[in-house]
Amino acid sequence: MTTTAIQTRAVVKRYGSLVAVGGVDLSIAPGEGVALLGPNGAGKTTLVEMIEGLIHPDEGEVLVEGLDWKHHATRIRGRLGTCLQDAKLPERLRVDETLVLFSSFHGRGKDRAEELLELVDLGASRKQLTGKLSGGQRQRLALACAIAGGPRILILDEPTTGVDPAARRQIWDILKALRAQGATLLLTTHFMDEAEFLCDRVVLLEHGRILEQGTVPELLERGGATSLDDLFLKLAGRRILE
Amino acid sequence: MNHGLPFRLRLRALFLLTKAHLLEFFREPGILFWSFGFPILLSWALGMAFLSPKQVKTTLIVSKTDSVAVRVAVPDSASIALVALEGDDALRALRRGEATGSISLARDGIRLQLDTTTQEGIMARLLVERSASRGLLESITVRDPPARAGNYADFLLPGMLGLGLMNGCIWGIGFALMDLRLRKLLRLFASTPLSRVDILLSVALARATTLPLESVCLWGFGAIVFGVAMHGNWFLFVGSAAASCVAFAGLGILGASRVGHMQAAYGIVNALTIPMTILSGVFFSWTKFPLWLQPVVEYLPLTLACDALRAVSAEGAGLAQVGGKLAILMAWGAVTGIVGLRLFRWR
Repeated sequence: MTTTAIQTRAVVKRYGSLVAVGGVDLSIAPGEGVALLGPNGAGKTTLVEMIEGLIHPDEGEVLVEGLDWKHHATRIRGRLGTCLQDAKLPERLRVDETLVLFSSFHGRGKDRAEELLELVDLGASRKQLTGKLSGGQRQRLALACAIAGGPRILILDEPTTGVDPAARRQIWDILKALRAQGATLLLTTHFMDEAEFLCDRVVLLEHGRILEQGTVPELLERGGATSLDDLFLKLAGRRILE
Repeated sequence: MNHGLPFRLRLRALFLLTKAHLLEFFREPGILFWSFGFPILLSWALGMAFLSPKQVKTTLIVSKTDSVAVRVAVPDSASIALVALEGDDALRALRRGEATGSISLARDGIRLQLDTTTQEGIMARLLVERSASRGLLESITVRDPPARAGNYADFLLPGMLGLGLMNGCIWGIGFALMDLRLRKLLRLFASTPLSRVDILLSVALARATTLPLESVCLWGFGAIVFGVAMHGNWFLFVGSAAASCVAFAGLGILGASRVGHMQAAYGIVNALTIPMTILSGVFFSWTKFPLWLQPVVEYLPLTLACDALRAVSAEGAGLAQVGGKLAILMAWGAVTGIVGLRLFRWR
């Protein structure tokens, strides 16, 4: 039995002369919730995409439940649920068709799609085209697609960006319930309250490197700050939401 | 080690993804118009217009034995060109639109074989009358060309079919892949246990479903409205269309392999399709282009596709005549497809 759900060892990713991720060591235990916090361009998405196996690190290693992407890609994909930043689901598919489709990618049938509809509370919109959904409904649908295979590990890239507070709260409740069932959660976010509500640990990222990590109270005490944004300003010289 | 889905579930996922592409296609009225309506409208407009083509220079066929005598009676000029051809070569030139009709000398004067229901035929007759030596003017007789020489619709429809296959594959596979990438759907699909081969295959299968429908509609329209007939083997015709699709699909994949912006996507698709639409002999024979350009034009995929489809449908050509073109089309598809897949970016 592996003791880590996700582990990165000195991972580096460069785009030409730009170092997007510059040697990150990160270890996430099974069932743990971790938030990656940082402003735009801090390297959050690049790090997450390396963990998701969508891009390969130039240096270092990524392990998911002890398996490496090079030799166990399909097995890892079966254990991960991913929600990409700004991904646009097929707009002319209906909600139920979309969920049947994504369930099929994991070898699951229509009954799974029905469960998902109920879980994300989209039963009333099941026949609506996804392109006609509100921002909050669309994010809930994206989340439902991410968990279609019943993943042990959830990786969500800014899952509540662009949705109203009520819809955000709804998504939080779903994620909280999934965590209560034992799911590991890695999410990137700009929102301090989201990180605090959903995660056990926060990792502050800037210029592709980890600035600090720990629980929110630990970080605030260590940095003598009143909020994570103030702490980030002290450490990096700019605000997270800049 | 592969721990992907069992074969039956994999097939189900592939079917559902292909169906999703088709639903997206059929639920977009704009796409339906451009795929089904536009080629038919264009064929109709061109078919009607080219029943009266305005051609400045008329090319007439003359038999080799008559060549010298005819040239004395009707000299080559800026408006009339005489080409010496016999038998099947002469028929082929007529079918391909490379010549308007034929001219010969009889004891009683000039004999023309022209389709005088077209403006091109009428123009040719007038030009001959204007250039012919005095004394022959009153003795010009006009007969219909041989039935198998065909008309402009016989020339146009295979060209339109080739054009439809090119657009269907380059837009329907190449642009569709770029669109999936730019909407981050390629990445999203690739992050699931579904194999990447199946993701690409689903796009091709969706197109393989719609293209025969589009082609049957277009050909049916041409057969009903313009009376276009099939002179060759239907299997070879379908095989030629399939080989053309292989070439265009390869080009589409190559074009789609690296694109990261919507503007670039439109640019690449237009750069691939517009030159071939103009040069490849869809609407008129590519032999009308300057001689220096013809060796390049001849081997463009759309030229090969149109020539092969036209040879089978209008000339009744067999595998021996079009096999070389089909082999080159397959080679186009293999080379561009393999390079495209090697360069392909999922994000």
